[in-house]
Amino acid sequence: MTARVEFKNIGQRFGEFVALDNVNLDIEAGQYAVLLGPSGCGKTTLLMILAGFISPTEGDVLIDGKSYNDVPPAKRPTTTMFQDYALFPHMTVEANVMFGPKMQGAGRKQASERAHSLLQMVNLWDARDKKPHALSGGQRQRVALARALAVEPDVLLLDEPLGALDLKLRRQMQDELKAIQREVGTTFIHVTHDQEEAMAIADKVVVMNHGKIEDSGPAHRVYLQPASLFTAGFMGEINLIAATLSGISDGVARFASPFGNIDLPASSILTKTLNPGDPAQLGIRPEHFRLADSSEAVSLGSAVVRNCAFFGAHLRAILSPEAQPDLSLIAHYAQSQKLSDGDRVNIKVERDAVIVL
Amino acid sequence: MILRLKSLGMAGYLLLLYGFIFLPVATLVLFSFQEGRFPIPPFNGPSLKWYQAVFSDHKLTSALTNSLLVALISSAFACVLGFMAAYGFARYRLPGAAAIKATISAPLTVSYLIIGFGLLVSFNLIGVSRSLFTVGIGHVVINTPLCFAIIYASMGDHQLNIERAARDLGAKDWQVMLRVTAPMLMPSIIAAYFLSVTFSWDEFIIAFLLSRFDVTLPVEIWSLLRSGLNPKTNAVGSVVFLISVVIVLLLEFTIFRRGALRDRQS
Repeated sequence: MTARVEFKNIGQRFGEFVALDNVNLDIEAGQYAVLLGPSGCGKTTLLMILAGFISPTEGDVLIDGKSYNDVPPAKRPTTTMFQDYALFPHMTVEANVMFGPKMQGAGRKQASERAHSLLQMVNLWDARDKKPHALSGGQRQRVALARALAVEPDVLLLDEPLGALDLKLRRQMQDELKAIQREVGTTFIHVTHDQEEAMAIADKVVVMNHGKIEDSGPAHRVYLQPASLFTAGFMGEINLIAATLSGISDGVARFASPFGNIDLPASSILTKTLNPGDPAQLGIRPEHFRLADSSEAVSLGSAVVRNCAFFGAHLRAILSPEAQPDLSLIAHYAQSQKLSDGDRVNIKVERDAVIVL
Repeated sequence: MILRLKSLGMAGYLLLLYGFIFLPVATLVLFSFQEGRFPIPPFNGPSLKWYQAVFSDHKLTSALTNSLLVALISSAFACVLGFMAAYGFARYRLPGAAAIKATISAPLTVSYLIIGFGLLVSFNLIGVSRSLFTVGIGHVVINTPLCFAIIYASMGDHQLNIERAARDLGAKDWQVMLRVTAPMLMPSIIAAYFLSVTFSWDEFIIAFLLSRFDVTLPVEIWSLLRSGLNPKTNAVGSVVFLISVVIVLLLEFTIFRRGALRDRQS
């Protein structure tokens, strides 16, 4: 049970407030898509439009090529898993899962078989007679998942499903969600503001801001080659250096910057229209800084280490470059490096990893 | 030292307050066990003979049954009506909702005398003769706003997503109400029911105005009192009091305990 989802020119206004502005998005059948963005970006509104709880001011929602405007939630091949799980507090875990099939006309035996197989899948068969209040947060989340899947939806909508869990459980549950999605093959659309969660589970990450889609694609592409400055900043920490394009020749783009001329492969220019003389931002992720010299590295002169902290997996340093002392660069170095505040280092950056926006 | 005095003072105040509230009831109950013919000091008992007199008095026992019937049935109607009104106001945006809500709650502020009188006139007008049925209608009128207020207060947005989820899973509106909303609100529905039962149980004015041959217990007690005080009136008063206490205790131990337990666990 799976289906392709298309949003066509979706617009949503709440009075004067524009929640969604001409949103176009395709999600393939069986894909795990994650809508990612800060609060108020419209991601939950988009999900609620697909669920049928909100009807859009403009545009069409297509599921499996069929328009579902003005079809109530119950009549859509979608099921929503709510942020607060919305379990029925007066019913046992098993009765919660059986509710959907029963409402859709299944007999008692059929509904109970369905509940049995789903509760086994989420490892909660032993807790079938408990009430939701006797379960832990992670268990409630799994009951909600089983209940939503019990009606065999083509598309499962998850509204910040892991938001109420602590970090460790969240990481564990996101692996479980992904495994279950692979098992059932249903299209999952998941809303979150946690970019690590998004990258960990999504086949397709959709970055949203101010009611618009900023970028969408596989996690590595969105992270390494973001389509916009917003995406670059939202997906993770990034250092931005103002520069001007001097010219492009033989596939090499030369930029004038406070650090002198910087030569980069022309393919690192991600915005399509950049002419000589245009201002640009050079983006460098903290993990692309190196201490050792190599021919593949761009040199940005020397810098003073202002603040250095051990983060376990890496060493995080804040650098004050000599060429532009008021700029702070955040660099991650290997955990084995010995650095302390006040040290002087040469700034080296992997050439292929620099992006131009 | 000052602290001791302060807490002594508070204890004294509490004693006075409870004395003020419960002394009349205690006196009533005490003299229901009087051996002699007048419920006045000195106390010479205890004796159960007046209770025996109450339960062998056919008029009193049938009034007691009438009262229970009216209380149980009219409260059920009041609860269903109150619940449906609360559901409507909490879940739908109605034109003029504030005004309708005020109108529904209005009987709470109008005196029972006026309501009873109004009903009496109305029943006369449409030619319905006075009976236990009309008393029951009167009690539905006074208790529906109460049930509405209690149930409406317990409906919040936190149940909204649960109802949405039920609808999303294919439940129709009436199924959501019956299988999800009502069970979720059961503690407050039962609280409203029992409170309504106690109110109906000892309501006098409306019962007096709207009944004729079959009367409820308060009306029967009133006619008993007209023939003067005797320990039998004390005994029947004690029975009324006892039943009210039992209802309140039932409420306390079933509903409120369970709610508190659940709050602690979640």
